[in-house]
Amino acid sequence: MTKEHYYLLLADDDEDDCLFFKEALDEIAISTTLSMVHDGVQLMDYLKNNISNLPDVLFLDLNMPRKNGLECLAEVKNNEDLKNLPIIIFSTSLDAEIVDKLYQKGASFYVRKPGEFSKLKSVIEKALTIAPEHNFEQPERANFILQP
Amino acid sequence: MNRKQEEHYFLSQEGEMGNLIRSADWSKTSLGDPKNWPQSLKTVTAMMLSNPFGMYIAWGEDYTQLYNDAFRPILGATKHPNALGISSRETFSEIWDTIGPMFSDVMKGQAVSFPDFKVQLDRNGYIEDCFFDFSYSPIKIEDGSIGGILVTVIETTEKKIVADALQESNARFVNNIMQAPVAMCIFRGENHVVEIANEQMLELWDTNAENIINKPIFEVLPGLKKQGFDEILHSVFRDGKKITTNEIFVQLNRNGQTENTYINFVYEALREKDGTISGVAAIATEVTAQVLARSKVEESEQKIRQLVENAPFPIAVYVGKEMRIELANDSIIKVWGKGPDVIGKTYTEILPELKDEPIFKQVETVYETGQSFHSKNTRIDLVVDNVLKTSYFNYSFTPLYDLNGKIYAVMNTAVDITDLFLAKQKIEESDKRFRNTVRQAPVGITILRGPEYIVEMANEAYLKLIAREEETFVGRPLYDSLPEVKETVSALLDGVLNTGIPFHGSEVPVPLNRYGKIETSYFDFLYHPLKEENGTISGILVTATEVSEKVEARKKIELNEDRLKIVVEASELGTWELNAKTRIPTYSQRYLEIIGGYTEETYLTHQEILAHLHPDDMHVRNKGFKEALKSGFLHYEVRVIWKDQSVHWIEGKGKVFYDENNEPEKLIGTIRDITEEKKYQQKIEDSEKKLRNLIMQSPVPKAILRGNDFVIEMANFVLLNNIWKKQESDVQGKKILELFPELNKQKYADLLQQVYESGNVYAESESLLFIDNEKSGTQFYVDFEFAPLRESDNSISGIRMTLIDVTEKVEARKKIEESEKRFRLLTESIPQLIWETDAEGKALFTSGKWFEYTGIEPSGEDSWQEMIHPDDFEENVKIWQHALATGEMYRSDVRMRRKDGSYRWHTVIGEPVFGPNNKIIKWVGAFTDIHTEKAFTHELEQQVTARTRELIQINESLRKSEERYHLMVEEVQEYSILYLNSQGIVENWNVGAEKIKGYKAEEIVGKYFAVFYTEEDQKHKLPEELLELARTKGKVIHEGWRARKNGGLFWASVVITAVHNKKGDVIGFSKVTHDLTERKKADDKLKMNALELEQKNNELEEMNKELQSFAYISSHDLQEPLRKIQTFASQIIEKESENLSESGKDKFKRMQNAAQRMQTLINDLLAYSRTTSQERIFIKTDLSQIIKEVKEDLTEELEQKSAVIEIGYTSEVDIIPFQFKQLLYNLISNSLKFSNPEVPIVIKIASEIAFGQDLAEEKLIDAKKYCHITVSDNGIGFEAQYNKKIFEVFQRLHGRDRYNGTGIGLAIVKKIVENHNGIITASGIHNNGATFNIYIPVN
Repeated sequence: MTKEHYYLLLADDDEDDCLFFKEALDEIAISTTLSMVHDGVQLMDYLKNNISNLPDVLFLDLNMPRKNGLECLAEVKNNEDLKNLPIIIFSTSLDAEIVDKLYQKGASFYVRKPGEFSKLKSVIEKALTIAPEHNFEQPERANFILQP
Repeated sequence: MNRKQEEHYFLSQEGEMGNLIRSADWSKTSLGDPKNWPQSLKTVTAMMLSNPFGMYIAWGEDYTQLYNDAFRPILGATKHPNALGISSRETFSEIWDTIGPMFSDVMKGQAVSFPDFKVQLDRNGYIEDCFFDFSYSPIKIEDGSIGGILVTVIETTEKKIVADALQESNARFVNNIMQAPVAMCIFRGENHVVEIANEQMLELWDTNAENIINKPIFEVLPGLKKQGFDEILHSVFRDGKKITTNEIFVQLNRNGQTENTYINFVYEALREKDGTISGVAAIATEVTAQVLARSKVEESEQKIRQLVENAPFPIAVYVGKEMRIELANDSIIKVWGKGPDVIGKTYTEILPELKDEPIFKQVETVYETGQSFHSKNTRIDLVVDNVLKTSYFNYSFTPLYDLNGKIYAVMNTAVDITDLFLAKQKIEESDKRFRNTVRQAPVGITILRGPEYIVEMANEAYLKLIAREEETFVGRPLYDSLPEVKETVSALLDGVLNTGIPFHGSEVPVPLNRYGKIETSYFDFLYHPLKEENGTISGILVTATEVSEKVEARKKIELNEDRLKIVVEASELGTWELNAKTRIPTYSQRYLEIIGGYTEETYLTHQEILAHLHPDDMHVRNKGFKEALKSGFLHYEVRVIWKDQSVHWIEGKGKVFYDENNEPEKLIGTIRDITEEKKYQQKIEDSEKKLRNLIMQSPVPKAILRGNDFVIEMANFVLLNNIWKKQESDVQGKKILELFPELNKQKYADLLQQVYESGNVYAESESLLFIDNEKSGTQFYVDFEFAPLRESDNSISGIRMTLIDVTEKVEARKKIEESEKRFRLLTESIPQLIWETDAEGKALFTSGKWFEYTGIEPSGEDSWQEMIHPDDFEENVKIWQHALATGEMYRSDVRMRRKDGSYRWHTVIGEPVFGPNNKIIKWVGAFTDIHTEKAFTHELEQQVTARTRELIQINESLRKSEERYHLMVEEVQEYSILYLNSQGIVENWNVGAEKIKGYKAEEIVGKYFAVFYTEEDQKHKLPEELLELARTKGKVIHEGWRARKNGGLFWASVVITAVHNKKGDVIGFSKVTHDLTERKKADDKLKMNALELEQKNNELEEMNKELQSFAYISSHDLQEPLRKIQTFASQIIEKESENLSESGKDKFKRMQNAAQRMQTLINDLLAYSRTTSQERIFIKTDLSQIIKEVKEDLTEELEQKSAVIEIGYTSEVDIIPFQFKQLLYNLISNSLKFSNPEVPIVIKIASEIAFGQDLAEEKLIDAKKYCHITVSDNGIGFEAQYNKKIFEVFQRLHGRDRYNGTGIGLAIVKKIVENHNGIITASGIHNNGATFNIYIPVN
């Protein structure tokens, strides 16, 4: 279900990446509001505190201190209140095993952080157009990885 | 009614109608009484009644009817006579609608007429069509009004019919014309108006109907006038005579052009009934084609005619049965010699001299049957120019057909072959003459033709010469009949044939197979080439004479002369010549030498010579000479006395030569000193005599028979006295078979013949011979031999017969045989099996009982063997051999096989039989059946033996095993094996014990075994325990420390086993101790090693894990800043581009590129490290599946490059799927990258399973199975020298500007292959693609 306005949560420890993400969001056509957390524990706390007001999508970086993305994902999906939160994994690397695991764990999409800004924009845009069409449901494994 | 009529003048006519009208009551009608009729009516009525034509009046408005007789039939029987006086309306009510208005019209004053009105009338008993001209005219009355209608009828039936017919016929006529297949037209009148012209005619005129019809022809077609048609038409029109013109050349305008046509015209006059000519009918048939054709024919005929005329050989054509000469060319005219004027005459007319010849008949036949006639070489006698001439012709008569296919003439062609014929004849004659000459020639002549030398002919003389028959010789190649001459003559013949140079052979020796023998004969022959007209040599004429005799004779003479010369020269012959008349001798010196022993040259007179002659021999000489004069040959042998008084024998030979009158002229001779010879002769005679004596006196009967009637030449005394019992004189010179006719009945006569004929010696021993003497017949046994006696030329002239009288011997032997027989009979009667052998043991005789018992005749060793029981055979043979050798009596018990197969014990005894000089000549013996007794004893014996053997065996084995055991125990060094008694005292010791425990045998035997144990153990009574355990359990195993002699301890494994006796009591223990110290140490070491290994392994794993995470993390961490750089750079370029100079932008781009490259490098490194550290889980996977996945991953790139991946045969193989996918991905990516842009990329992947030995890679193990995968492409390839380098990490073959890449791809591929325990090799051809061969071992 496509919305007019998305409330996004980004979980990423890297300052620069957050900056990129924000700047990209600003430049895409979709109307968004962005909140950010910078480690896994922070994330879980945030989520648990905002159960009634969960974001539309969680963009989750894998390499975070304290709790990494994978752990968070598992936790979220095991949490009754949180398990329906669409999670798009946002990570630098692309390790097939890890991707598989993430897929298994129930992430909606996997995005590899692109090196080019324009690609970053397009992939985020895609995430916010394609994914909502299917209600952020996890697609087939073949389509799990979103390409810019 | 007033029937009395007034007589009116107008009704005065006779006839029915007149009557009827007169008698009718007119007052009832509208007419009223006739006297009141209007005048015109009266008049008309009067007229009508007297008119022969049918008339009818309808008067008044009522149309009251009046009519005359002639009108009656028109009314018909139904209307008449009622019609009279009544209204037309009534009468013609059925047609009133039609005629009513007509009537009224007429009443108005309009006359109407109907010509040829058809009325069907029954006038003559049937309905007919009748035609009438009806006219209706008004009848005016005085006042000018119309009072009535007068109808007049004139029958026009006939006219009509005729007219109709005419019209019809006209029409038909026209039709005919119109439809005629020929052009027809009708001209009418003087001007020849075209009345009718049909299509053909129109066509002929090239016009159409409108233009012509009813127009004068010559107006419309003036052209025709020019051609004279008008004349013709006029002529016909005028004279009425038919004119036919054939094949008129008409130039017509047709089809738009002027065509030349030929037309046949027939013009006939058309007459009217009265005979006047009213027109001309013209019929034209176009015969252009025919004319043309005929002209062609004429042309060709003309040509033929010319041909015929000018032909060099006679040709004539005879037309019709009468054979009229239509055509005769000059040639034949000449032949006939009857002058040129022959055309038109008949054949028979001009050649009367042939009237008896079959020629005319031949022509007739040809004319009738149509069969051509040909004749060759026929003699025709013709009177030519009044001279009878004989000619020879080849002539033919051929039928000629006209256009209808009928024979209308016969053509005669001929060739005068007279000259040829005569010439041929001459040739034949001369040929014949020649042949005859040849045939009868005394010299052998043959003609050979061709290179095969086919015998064309051979005369008698030749055939005789070569002894062959004509049939088989003539016509065949020479060498077929005379193969034996080929060698000698072929070269000569070939020479003549090729060169044409004749060959003379003189006295040439030629081998000829005559009468079955090949002999060389001598021939004088001549080979002469036969030339054809053109000069080629086609054959050879051979003349030959045999000169063998001559040659041989001459040769002989030569030979003889030579011989003579030799002889004379070498000999000591003296030659002399005596003139028979003068008796004056001439002689050689040698002669004198021989005659008288003169050594010097002297001259003697005839008398003096004679004086030397021995007086006793004078008569011999004289006789000789007398003979010579008679026979011509002189030969004598006389003695001469030399001057030294020695006597010599001389042989004189000579010949008489006669003069013309056959008188002896001279004698020429030789003499020879034959003194020595004579002496020799004597000697020979003497020795012969001696020989003869010898033979005569030989003790062996001998005889010599001569000739095939076997004349006794010589028979020695012995033969004469002993056998033949005859005197020498009785037999000498007589035929043996005559003297002894009894021989004929015996075989001897035949044998003599046989030997004489075959030449083979025949000998026989102990042959019975019966000689019938006068006193008594005597029987002899003889050894005899007939041998052929040969002459010097090997021919058999007689037989030498040798006999040896062996009667006594034979008779003696016979006696023996007799006694033997008796003996045998005896043997048969006793139950024993009797046998007899010779001194060597070979069976001579066995009694019948023998055969009865055994069922076989003993023939040799084998049969004996068969009969004797195998167990007894050897023993028996031994005894027998012994007996044979020693002469001692032979005695043995054996089992003999009965014929039913069972064995029975027999005692056999044999005793030697001694011959003269005490030598054994044979053995005689007997078998006695002792079975029953023997069997028993034998069995017993057997058993005892067996028992004893057993016992011995057992003893043996016992002993052996003890021995072995001792040895074993002794030798074993590693183990201490000792025996303890039940008390535990050491009873024996082995080397091993010494080694292990340190004690020597003498030190320890007898001691208690506890000494081996440690003090501890001893204190704890371990030894006793163990012993007890062993006792109770039977065996005890213990590992523990033991003490050596030196106090040292060792770790021992000990087995103590209790030994029981038969009763089960323990009688002792065996104790086996093994020093495990070393092993223990080793074991411990192993354990430690294993521990270490495990530890190390764990460490490694740890390390690996660390490494992996390190790799992961490092790559990740490395990538991160990289990504930032890229992103920032991209942002700047995007946002700040206008603030950047070109150079600045460029630099940013380069920065991005560098960052990108680092990214790729990190990715690749990561992949590489992953391949090493990951777990290896092999899954059996179908390669095609992997390939498919890779293809999917590379879909875009494949599409972009329009690359094709051809997958060949793939198999399932145990691989790490993830890694293998990476491998294929890398390889295929490479293929895509390193492609030739101009060549469409084709990547081929295939796999096969094979044994190492079948695959081309050396490093593979032969016996191992591999999956061999090939990935090949058609890209840029690489130079072969790099085929190993490319697999090294970071190794690249191209600069970054040409092809990008980190140089890790193939290193990863190699690592993956190694992970699979496989091998990868690469082969490439620069610019011609690369192939990767991967070998993965399969299970």
